[in-house]
Amino acid sequence: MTDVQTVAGTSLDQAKLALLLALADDELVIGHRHSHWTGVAPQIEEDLAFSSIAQDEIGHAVVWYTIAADTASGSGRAEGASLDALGLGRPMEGYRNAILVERENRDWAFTIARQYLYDTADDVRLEALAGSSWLAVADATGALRREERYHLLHAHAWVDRLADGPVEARRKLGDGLVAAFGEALGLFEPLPGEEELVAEGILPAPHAELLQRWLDLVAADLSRVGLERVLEEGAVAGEGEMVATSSGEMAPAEVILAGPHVTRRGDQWVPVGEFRGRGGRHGIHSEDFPAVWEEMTGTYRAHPGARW
Amino acid sequence: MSYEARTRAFKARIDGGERIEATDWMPDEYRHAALAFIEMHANSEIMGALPEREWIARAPSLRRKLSLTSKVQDEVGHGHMLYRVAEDLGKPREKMIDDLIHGRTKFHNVFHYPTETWGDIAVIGYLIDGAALVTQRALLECSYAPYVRVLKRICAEESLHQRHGEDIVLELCAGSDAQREMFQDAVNRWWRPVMHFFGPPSKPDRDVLLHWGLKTRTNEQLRQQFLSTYVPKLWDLGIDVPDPDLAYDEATGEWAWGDPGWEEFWRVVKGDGPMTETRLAWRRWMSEGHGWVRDTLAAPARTAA
Amino acid sequence: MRWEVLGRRTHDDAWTAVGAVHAPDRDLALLLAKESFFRHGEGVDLAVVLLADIHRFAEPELLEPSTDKSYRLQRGYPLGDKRRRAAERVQAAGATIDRPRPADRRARNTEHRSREAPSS
Repeated sequence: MTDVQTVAGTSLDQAKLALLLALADDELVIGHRHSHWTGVAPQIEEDLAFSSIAQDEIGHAVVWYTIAADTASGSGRAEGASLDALGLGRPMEGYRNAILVERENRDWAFTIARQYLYDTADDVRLEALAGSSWLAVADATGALRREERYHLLHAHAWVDRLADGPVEARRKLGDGLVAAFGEALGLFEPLPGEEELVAEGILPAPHAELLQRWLDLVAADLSRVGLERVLEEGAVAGEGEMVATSSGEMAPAEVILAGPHVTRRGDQWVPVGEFRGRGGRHGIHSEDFPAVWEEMTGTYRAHPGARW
Repeated sequence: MSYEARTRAFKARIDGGERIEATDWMPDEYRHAALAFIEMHANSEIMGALPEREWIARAPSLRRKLSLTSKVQDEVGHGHMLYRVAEDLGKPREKMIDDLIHGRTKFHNVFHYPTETWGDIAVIGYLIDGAALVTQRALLECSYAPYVRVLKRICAEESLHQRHGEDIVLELCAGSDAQREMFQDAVNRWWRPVMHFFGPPSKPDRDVLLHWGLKTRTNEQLRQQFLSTYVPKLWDLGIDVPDPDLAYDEATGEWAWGDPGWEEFWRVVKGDGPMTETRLAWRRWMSEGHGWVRDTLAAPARTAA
Repeated sequence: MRWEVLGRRTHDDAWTAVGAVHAPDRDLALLLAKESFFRHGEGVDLAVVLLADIHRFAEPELLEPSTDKSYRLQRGYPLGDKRRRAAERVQAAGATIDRPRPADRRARNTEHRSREAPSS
């Protein structure tokens, strides 16, 4: 088993890996969270639909891990074992998912709010990556976007339905969106080595630009359903306690991801200020992550080398 | 025609191998028996999702995480289809779910137990789904047509699950000593509940489900079929079955088996199993917290889509 | 008004779409459907639904999974190699349990062949 994160390589190799792990870990961890609803969703038909979304996301993580493993080994199709080593075998700080996706499910409103914000972001990013100069990545986006299409239809149907009322549903959706919005900005935290990825055309647009595209889409949707309050109340990224590296140290407050805010400028909502500190893309996670990591990777780690 | 005469004619239809449709006239006893039976089946699919879903988060590989999620999803899907069939017999789904989570109706004994290791997932996928497949295939002969139509699809998916279960079992049995012990330990803990699953030997002339052709095989016939299929498979994998009295009699072609503790079975199906209250309480808590979602889905949309 | 016609060939079958009729109301639609599609004993049940009440999924291409979903299919679980590895493992561990059991077909075949063994 090769630990791809410790493989020596050029800074570009490291940056490419950072990109794949950000993509894969987001998908795996949100798929993991979504899968918690299987068997217990608030309505039976929705239980089935949401479980498929969870499965899609975990499947998308596998697609990205496969490219990462193939790249690391320099050979063809990766085996299940090396994918599991990537997906389930890394230390906590090795995971590069954004903090939003590791948050607990809380309730259905937060779950739907997050699904909407996340899948909108994922689609923006996949659309950009379709034009990547890294062909393995560009090629993968087609299949993923077809499944993301369903996720978007699902998210919009629920957002529209809940926003339509009754009053309690509308209020809960608004609260869920407010709670998720700030950390959703963290999905666009610049990657380590981002400048090089952009210069090589691997990442066709910097995350700052993708953030604006996402914000345009979200602002239009929220305006349509009359929930612009989310943009006003929810735009404080990455606040709150954080922590915990595997060595048990608490990350000092100044390294934790914060900002930007969003504000209305003319007809457009725009981010104001830069990201400060570091977040999920650098392996810095929230207080919710240790439990996710423990649960998700525990069985795998307890039996090194076992086949399942 | 009097009620009694109609009932006799109805019984004659069933005895003659005819199937009953939801829109046909049926005696109250038949309607009640069919509803209770199918509702309990639906409840069991829904409650059966809980012990397995606990291991979705802890699955040992990405592939298993996907396959287990998909498998539990299928079980929920079975509950979905079965509640629809039960609904047509006169009880709304909301009411069935409400009765379930408040402990007013029953679900299968095996779903009242905890899942402690990945070995339990192997046992559920292989032996419990195997037992369910034996009973559900037999139900394809059921007199209630809408149930049979749904069971056809359920059986197809269950045989997929059974293969998924065997796949997990084979990996554990081909694996490390710790993996083999994990499976043996799970078989040891689950064997009695699996024997309970078929119910105690019943008197056919007093079984109302057999009377109405809702079931066509006795508990013991199904248990014998299960033992003949699965015990040799376990032995071939070097897995012992924890019943010292279990033995196949080549002369009679029957399995003898030891007392699995029927008092435990009766206690569990009445709602006093190790995990019954925990699981129902959790479902109640989820249900109460999401009444607003049900209200939303029940309300007509105010604006056009 | 156009009505889609549904039918069931036997009581064991599910409803399937069998055609469509033009009719001004539900009752006439049912009467016309009967003679349009059930003249030759095509079925045991008939229903109509207003075409405007049928809503088609606008993106049928999404019905096909586009990433690997083989774990939802029988072929996603190839067992041959696993059965062989498990059997070898059991043998290596000396864990085989050989007790009386029902004769299965494979066992009977083996028995049959062994009786004929001398001539083969």
